Amino acid sequence: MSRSIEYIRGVCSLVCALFFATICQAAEPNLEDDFKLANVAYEQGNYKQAITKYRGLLTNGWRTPAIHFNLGNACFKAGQVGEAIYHYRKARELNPRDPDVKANLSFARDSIGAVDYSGLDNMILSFLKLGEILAIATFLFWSLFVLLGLRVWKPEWKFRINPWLNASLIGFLVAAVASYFAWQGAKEDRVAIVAKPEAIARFGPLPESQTAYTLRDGVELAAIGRKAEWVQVRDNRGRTAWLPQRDLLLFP
Amino acid sequence: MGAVSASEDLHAATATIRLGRDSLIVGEVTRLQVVIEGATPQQVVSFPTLTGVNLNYVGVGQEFTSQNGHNTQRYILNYNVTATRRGSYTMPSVEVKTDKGVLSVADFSINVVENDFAGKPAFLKLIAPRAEVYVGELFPVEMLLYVTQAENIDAPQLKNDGFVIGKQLPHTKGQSQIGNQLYNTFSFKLTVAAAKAGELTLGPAETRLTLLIPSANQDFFMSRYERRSTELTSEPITMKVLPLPLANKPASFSGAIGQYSITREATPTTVSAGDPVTLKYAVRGEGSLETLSLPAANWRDFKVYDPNSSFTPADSVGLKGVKIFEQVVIPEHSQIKEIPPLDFSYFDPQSRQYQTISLDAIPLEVKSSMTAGGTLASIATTNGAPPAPERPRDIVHIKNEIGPLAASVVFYQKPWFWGLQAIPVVAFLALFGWKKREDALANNPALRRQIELKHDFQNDLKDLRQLSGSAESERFFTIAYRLLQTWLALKIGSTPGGITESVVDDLAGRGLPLSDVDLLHQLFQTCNHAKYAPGSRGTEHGPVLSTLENLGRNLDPLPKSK
Repeated sequence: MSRSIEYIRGVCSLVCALFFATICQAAEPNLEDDFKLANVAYEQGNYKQAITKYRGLLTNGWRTPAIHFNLGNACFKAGQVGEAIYHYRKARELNPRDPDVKANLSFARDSIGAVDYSGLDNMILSFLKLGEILAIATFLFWSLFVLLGLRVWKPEWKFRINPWLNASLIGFLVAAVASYFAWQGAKEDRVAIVAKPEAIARFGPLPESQTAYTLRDGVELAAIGRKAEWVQVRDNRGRTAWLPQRDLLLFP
Repeated sequence: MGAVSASEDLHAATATIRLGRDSLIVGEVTRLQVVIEGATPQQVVSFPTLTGVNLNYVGVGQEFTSQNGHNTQRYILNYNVTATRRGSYTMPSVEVKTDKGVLSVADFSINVVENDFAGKPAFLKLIAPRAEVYVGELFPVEMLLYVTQAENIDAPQLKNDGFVIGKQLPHTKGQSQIGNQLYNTFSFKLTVAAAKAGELTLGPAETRLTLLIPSANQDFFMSRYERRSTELTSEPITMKVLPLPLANKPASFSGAIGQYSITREATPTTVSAGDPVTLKYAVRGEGSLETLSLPAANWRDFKVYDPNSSFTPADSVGLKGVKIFEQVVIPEHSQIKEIPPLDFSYFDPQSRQYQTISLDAIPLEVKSSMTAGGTLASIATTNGAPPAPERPRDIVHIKNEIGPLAASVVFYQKPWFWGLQAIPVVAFLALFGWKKREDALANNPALRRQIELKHDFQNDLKDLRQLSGSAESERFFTIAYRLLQTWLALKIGSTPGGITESVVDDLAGRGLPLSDVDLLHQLFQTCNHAKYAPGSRGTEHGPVLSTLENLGRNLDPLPKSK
């Protein structure tokens, strides 16, 4: 009797698993289909439509480097350079070593003669994701303590362990510093990208404030402060000014 | 104020106006100087008569300065300026004959304001040229301080709610006479712009100083002056600030307010694709020139760099002058025929209209980089260096595969990840502590032996409890005997193997109570009896076990006998 119950229980579990697998499988093709439809719109030159479809995928929570990359392409073709740069940066955040993303980001910046506002954090994140850097740092951290423990447990192995221990320590320190800078770079809203053809930067956070300078679509600035719906920015010449948030895309 | 004029001589002669102020008070008489440098005047400069301002020549002087070994001589033509009527006056440009030729003295403006401080020993005036301005329009403001005699004079502070202060110049000093009163004058000039529209109040300006009033009672021992700390406040100015009109606002307008003209030139006009062309823009006029920026050049076939700029003021406050922009652009292919046209828009407060100046396209001849004296590849071969990579002409095409989904929450955002990092630290500390203990034991055999004996005692006691009441009396008493030996070994710091009942008597001398000594003897005898006379009943187990358990509560060694 107990054997029969066990058998029925096993069959029911298998059926449930198959059922949920089927449902999950059914959800995936919709994502693929929507992506393909967006690509078709792009190929036909309907860049606005392609933008709407790619944005729809992101709104539904589907984030892949390819969606951001293709959306960047569609924005660039539609003349929205700022938004193109924003999505290329998003694609690079997810896949830093993709040469296509780097090439298109560079092309978009060149098209407006923009200078990349880049520091050490940006340089690190253009090669490795934050998760990858932290994984390396974690591995070296654990290695460090394993080697230390080995050295304590077997002192007679000291001379064989020491070179590896020193290498782990140095590697961990380098990885820790890189993690710190990468963490800083990944903090919310540190970069502001101008997303309108001509944005007016003002001396104060008021519509009536005097114009400081004008900025073109696609210029990347450091976001250094917020006040209501205004963002304080600094350009590559060190000049600070205020811009309304609606004119900007904030990254990451 | 100033004028520059070139002479035919190698060293340019100049004739400039030196007044130091833009404003006078009705009835005020002050000194104006025409400074001629690099030439000797042959005549006195004649100024035309204006209704509200008179200039009277009073004499000539000379000035010598020496700087870095260079000596400069200047001739100073001195005039008394008398303001007779309120208003704004512009003295036209005049000429002066010198030994080096005819020099031109540029026009200058004087603003004459009402005299409502007659007879006071000190007063402060706040002067703005207009009462109606536009939001963002830069205008000059002057704070004039008149004092007979004073010390510890603070620079005036201007209340500026709703305004933004621009450039502030160092103050200039002078002397004036109003009626019979002689004043020392201090002029503080600055530029101001309104930040919002509406009726705003500029000022008042405030300052503190110590007036020196001639003392009525003077003798040899008392000061000639009475010192009186005074605060001066000017009248504020109510200004009507108008918003920039929204109608007819050109798309190329970027906030420039004033009156401007702009020219553009390009050099060179024949280049190869990829070579730079420098565009030079000259913006002349009146307004916020220092903060003026060029309209953006979004030219698809060009690589455009941010321009450099320099500003040369034509007045002391920087509202007039010329701003030069130099911008590098690079044509990217040989099909380009011109530098595209550019619109420059500004708002003219005088005409109250937006103005747009359209700069015409500049013809450009762009040769292919393949035909400009040899191909890039051939040049590279000659030099032995690899050819420069070809610049991409378009973006990389879209991706056809959607790729893996990014995780919404990554591992380093989860608390358990950071909690896990404590494991190696804790494990290492535990290992370190264990190793230290092992080393301590290895260096202390007595301690190690004692620990082992205690461990053995507890294990045997556990076995004894299990055997208690069982039929295995022989084994029970064997273990009990061993426990006694172990206990005694712990007490005297010896090994159990050689312990016999005779050791018990020694314990009395080491502090063990006599009752315990007797108890131990009894235990030994019970164990021996059971050993050598087997067949004891199980009920005798209980007391033996109980006694040994009591003994087991204190396994510390006894002090050594004295």
